[in-house]
Amino acid sequence: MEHQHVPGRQDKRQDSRTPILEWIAAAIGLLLTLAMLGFISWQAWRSTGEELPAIKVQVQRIVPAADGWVVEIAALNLSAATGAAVQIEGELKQGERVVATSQVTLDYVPGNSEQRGGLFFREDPRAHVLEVRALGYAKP
Amino acid sequence: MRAFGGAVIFAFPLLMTMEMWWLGFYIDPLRLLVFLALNLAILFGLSCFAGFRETFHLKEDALDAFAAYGVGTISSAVLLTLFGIITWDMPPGEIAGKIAVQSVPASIGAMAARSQLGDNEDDEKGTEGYAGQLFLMLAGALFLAFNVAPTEEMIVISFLMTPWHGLALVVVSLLVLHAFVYSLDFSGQEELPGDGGFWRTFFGYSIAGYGIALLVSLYVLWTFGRLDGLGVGQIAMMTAVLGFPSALGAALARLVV
Repeated sequence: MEHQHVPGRQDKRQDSRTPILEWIAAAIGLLLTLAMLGFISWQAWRSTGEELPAIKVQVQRIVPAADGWVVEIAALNLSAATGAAVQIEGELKQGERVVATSQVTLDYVPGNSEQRGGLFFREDPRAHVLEVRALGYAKP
Repeated sequence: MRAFGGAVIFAFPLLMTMEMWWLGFYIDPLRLLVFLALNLAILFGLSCFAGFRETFHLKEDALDAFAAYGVGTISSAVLLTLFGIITWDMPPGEIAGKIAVQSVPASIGAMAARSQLGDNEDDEKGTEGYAGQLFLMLAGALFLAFNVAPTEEMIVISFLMTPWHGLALVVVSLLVLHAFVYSLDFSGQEELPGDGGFWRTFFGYSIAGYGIALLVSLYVLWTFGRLDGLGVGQIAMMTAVLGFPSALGAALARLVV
């Protein structure tokens, strides 16, 4: 591998035929570009632009934390619209009585995506009925 | 000295970005390691085209790459300390993470300093060939994508855009990239390998370059954990957004390096 410029040799070789590498690179590039256009067009086709976020909150796991328990939650956005500053509340209930509440705000829950967060409780959530729900969101 | 200058100039916009400081403690260690390894590979490649010295020997180029990396790490550490972003009472993992993330742009700066600020007698080394051109586009795309990817604005933009905006952005990115490629070819600043021809330039450079830009965008977003939990449509939009600076980086790389 000598590092010096040999003008004639390189130009001649590349003039004659399209090198295989160029074919591969162009094909991959074309494929990716078309895939991008495809995905986004598909989205444009499906969404009306009028949807509102539809956020479903699920409890993932309950783990003992430093000063009580932490409940890991997953906020699943079922619509194509993104919600910002999504507030999520968890309530521990004993029959009709609310024992404790905890809140968390997720910065963004993008459309058709999932974001995770956690709620801290002093009491053991497994000893009560735990209800989690989204309270509201802001338009990003 | 010149290397330190380059490192500081290339890295300071990111050194003063708070998302970059946060990355230090939330980035996945494995992804960070992969990224650092990739950075070394890029430095090595850049060294072949624009290293500290006129070399093209495996050992010398490897040494150059490590030297640039060292310069990048040291200057990041010094500046972060100077700004009071890292202090002694932080856990070592956090300090290391913060420096490691910043060392990437700083080391690329150190490497590029030679060709940018240097008195290069031979402007272009000229023996790059097609693979070399692709590599330069990759390095340029990675650098510019990395510069904007950590900011929250990237996410916000992709949420504000409708899919129609996304489609338009893809087309515009491609056109801008092609305009750069074509004007470089036209002005004869740098002879493109190959016999020219509009479609050949378009597919061989612009389309291939945009493909690289998209891959780089996807990779950078993944490294920063931006894609976790996202739906396919959102991933496509975010990639389109980051694809724009990546495409610009790919187009400009051949001018800069």
